[in-house]
Amino acid sequence: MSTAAPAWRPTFGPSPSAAPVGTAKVVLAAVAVLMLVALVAGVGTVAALSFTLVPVPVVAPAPEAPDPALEPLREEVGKLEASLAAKVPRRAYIVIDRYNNRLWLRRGSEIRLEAVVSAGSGTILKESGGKERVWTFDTPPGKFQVLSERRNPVWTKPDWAFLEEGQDPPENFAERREKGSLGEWALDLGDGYMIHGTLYERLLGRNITHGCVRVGRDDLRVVAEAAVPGTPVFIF
Amino acid sequence: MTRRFVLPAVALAAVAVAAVFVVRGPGAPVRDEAAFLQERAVVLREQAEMVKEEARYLLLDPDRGAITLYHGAVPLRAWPVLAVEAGARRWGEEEDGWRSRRWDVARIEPPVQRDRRVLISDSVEALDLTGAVDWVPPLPEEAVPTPPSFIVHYEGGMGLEVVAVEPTPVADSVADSLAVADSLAFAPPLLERVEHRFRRLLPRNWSRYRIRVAMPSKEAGSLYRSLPDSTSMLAIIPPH
Repeated sequence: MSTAAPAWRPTFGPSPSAAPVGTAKVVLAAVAVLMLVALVAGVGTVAALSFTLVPVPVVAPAPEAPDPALEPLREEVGKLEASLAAKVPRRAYIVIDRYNNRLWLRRGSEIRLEAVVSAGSGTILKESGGKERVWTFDTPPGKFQVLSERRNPVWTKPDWAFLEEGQDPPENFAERREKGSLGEWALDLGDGYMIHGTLYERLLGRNITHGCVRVGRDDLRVVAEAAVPGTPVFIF
Repeated sequence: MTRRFVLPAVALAAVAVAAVFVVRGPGAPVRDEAAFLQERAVVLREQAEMVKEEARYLLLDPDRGAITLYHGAVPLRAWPVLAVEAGARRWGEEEDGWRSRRWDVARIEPPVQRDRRVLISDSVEALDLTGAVDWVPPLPEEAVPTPPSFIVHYEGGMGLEVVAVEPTPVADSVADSLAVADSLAFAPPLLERVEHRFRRLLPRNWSRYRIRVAMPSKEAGSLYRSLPDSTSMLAIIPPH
């Protein structure tokens, strides 16, 4: 008995016309799998390399009943704190934040005055021709002290003060003397740097000086009253 | 019969406990006094060394709610902190490797950009006789705006990250203030969190250990602008 071959045979595999669709599916699936793997790997890497951060209580209350066994440790901490506190100047000292234009008059941990001031502008002045000098108008950071205190100071204008105004520095010393522009008081810090008053109180809070620290009239009176030669000045 | 009452009773009890917890809140965290004192003693001894050197450094003291800039023993300026977190990279770092150490050689990221005006003397016109000021410089916060966060990187792998947050609502208790600071500072929207995590992997932001501090935006800005170069850091953070 013979059987006739069927007219239609099922074909396995894509027919020529269906081939691109099948390949596209495979490619899409592969891309999806790769993206998934990349995502998992990325997230995994970020998770593995991230920080394990634990909250630290801020101003946490101490236990109500102190443990007597901790007394020696408590005493040691107390002594260390006392020895550090003893090194803070007992007399007045001045702190200047030159980039935020603030001045504090402090005594120990107490703040006597907070004032809005003006510190160095950071401007660079270049002298053309002549000696080709360059000035940078920064307020220098560091530890200083009040060297002297002058009431109604007279300013001896340096060369840059003339060059900056488009003038030639005078030969005659008397022409350099200027009254009033430094306000009521000037506290000399050395190298020409001073804490002094200003004619332009509206500009307090801005970095505009040539390196000195300008203080408003009322605040300057408080600072001058508290400062004496030797008063420490910290500038940061 | 009994079973019919047990389940509702358990459910009621659970609801009551939950209600009490919600009303009272999680309660103020009480510190581990021994660990706190030990850590404080270690850091204070380190501080005593820095006082001898007249070094300039930051002291982060969450117990006093502040980060303070010192010159030797002299406090210069204190910035309030609202919340603090500390830890190490999850993988490959010693969990407590950052504790009780002095961190030196600081670098701020992003770096502070200050523009300098340059004047050439012969190009300057003479001022008029009224002495008028011809140039009004920007305010500090205009010249150097506060970034949303910045990192002070120290040699040895420490990163002190300062997150600027808007002023917090008034909190009634320490627990409330912690919760407020927490929600404001350390729980930003999901996308921001993801972006932040990726940014931390950038080489310039890389560090092995991290202390995160949240502070009011204005204070964060002033710290960012004025933190002197190469200011060391000490932190009094007791073991958790």
